[in-house]
Amino acid sequence: MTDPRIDALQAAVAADPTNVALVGLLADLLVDAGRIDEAVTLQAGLMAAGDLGPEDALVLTRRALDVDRLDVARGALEVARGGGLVEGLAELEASLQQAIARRGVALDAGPDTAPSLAEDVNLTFAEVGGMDDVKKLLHRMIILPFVRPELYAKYNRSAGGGVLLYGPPGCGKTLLARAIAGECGLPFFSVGIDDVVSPFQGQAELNVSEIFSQARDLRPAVVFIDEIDAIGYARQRAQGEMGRRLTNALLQELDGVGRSTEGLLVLAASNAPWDVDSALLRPGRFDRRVFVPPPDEAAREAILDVRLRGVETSGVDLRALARASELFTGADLRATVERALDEVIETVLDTGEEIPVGQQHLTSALAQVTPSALDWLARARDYVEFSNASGQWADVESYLGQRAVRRRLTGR
Amino acid sequence: MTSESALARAEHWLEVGRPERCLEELARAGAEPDPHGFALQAMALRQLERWQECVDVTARGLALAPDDLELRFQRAVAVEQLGDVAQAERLLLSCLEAQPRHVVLLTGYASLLLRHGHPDEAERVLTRAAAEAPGSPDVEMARARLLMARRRDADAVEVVRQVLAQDPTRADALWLLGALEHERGLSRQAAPRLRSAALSNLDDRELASGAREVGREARWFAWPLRLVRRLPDAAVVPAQLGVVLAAALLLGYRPTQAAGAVLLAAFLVFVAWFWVAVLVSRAASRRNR
Repeated sequence: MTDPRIDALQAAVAADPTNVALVGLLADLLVDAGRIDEAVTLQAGLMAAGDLGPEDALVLTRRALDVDRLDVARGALEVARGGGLVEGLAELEASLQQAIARRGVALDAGPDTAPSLAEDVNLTFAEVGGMDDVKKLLHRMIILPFVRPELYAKYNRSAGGGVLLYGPPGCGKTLLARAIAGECGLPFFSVGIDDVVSPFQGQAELNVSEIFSQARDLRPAVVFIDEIDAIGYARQRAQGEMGRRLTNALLQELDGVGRSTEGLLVLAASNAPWDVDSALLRPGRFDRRVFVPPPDEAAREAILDVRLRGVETSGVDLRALARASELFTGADLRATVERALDEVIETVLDTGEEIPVGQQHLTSALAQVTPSALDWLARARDYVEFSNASGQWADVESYLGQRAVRRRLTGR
Repeated sequence: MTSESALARAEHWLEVGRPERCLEELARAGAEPDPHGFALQAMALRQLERWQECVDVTARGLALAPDDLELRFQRAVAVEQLGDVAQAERLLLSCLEAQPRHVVLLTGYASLLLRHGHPDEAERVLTRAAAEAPGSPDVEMARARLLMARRRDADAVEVVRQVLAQDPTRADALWLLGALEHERGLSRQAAPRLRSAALSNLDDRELASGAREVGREARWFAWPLRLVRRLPDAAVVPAQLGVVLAAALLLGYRPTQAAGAVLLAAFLVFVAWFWVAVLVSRAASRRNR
């Protein structure tokens, strides 16, 4: 049986999803109606947008723990902590650790050991708009060996190993990596420069080692190294010792991938694969490389749809806009929509008449934004041309060979 | 004061050739940097060629630590780029007063003297640097540039070859040797060196386009260009005039057969191509150097 108050509030929230008060009210009603999971999803959306206050984050942590949404609980707890709350945090942290242990995700962390770095990821490919070709490739290459190990075992192939996702910034590499972990249902260890670099001599290498050690203990697991070009930078070009030492540490850990750490999938993302140390790209390490191109038409349409959600529009043809925005990244599309909205606001201020966003506003904004991926593609073209290693980057070569890409690059 | 962790991350971004991320990291840290933070900021701005900002940052840093050599050195580089050579020289000399045997400072000062037309003084300073660090690749590269300024290109090639023998991937040496070989008409040898140099810095679009142009000149159909490059500069125009004269003589000859006409037309096209291509290629070479 539906509650008319919930229905009314849901309509109001759909019209203005960033209204914190409305979302809070709706979440409370949903909880009262026993629909805690929906309430958690709603508030998690606010948290992802950075609109959740610390008090609300604390409430969300409790609710997420109640419905076993541990990833949300962890995030909310961090928001509450970051917001300066102290009271009740220790108790919730303990509950969270117990819940993680129950699910077999946590380590037996004694007082002297590092806290668990694993995350639970609920994201799946279904939630990543478009990019069907890349998703299919990743499904075959990475997910199936985990899901149907017996098939791969017959052909003496096993799950795990290293895969490098590379492409222009803002094209969804991190999102895809998280979706891979979600599809496989594996604990996810995300590693970035912030997690590794330390001012203390030797600590950075220890940090790398600690992350891999935790991941090995939880096998099968996914380790995701973001911006691997910064952690595994080409040693001969590094201007200091830290860069070289980090690359060596990473190489040591990856050499274990082929030997004793079967079941450990090491994903890496890079905007600058040409800066990655060549030893990391050799067989047994990141020998499988997947080019993540700028969003395709379907993905662009989905992004535009999300960006325009909650905004009054009239006669907007998203498909036509998606067709006209070849090579635009998610960030470029956001900039386009923002420009169009600014133009509409200008008109409203000038005329005093409120008008909806029309196709002409978006088309004119589209013409003013230059695809940011062009710079990256020009560098990739130079790299493929000068490196004499064309066979290794066949997918990006074939992308660069497309008429639309060639035309845009020639016009620069 | 910026936290040690933030400084370590900022330094790491500089090490891996990402000055813009270094600046982001320092900005994210929020607090007013200490002298080391200012020096990192100045180095990043220098790599990004944001000279005026570099000058401003070093001024703030030097207000905190007037004797900081790193800040003074970065400031010298930036003010020179902004055209204040006298201040740059004063700053470098003050650094050398504090550290008279510092090889980077000596090399930097010699390079400044060379750029501003004082090769003899530059040589004296470089001799001091070489005495402090015999065989140092940085000093040797500066010496190669000095030799080039004195039009002793063959000696410069030898010096750069020695540097590359120590480090075959050193980008500035590859580029310099490639440029010198290109000027001597050895485009086929120059092209792979310039490609390697461009590969090590894909952000530099001019490097890439220079490497591409030389690559084109290394193709078989560009052999006349390679031939012309072997000539001294003064001989290029007379050679071109000679070709034009030959064309004029041929024009005076009235062919009676179709084959002769085709031959003449092909020759004229070749003359036109030769004339234009030499000029374009010379310009490209000057740009690369």
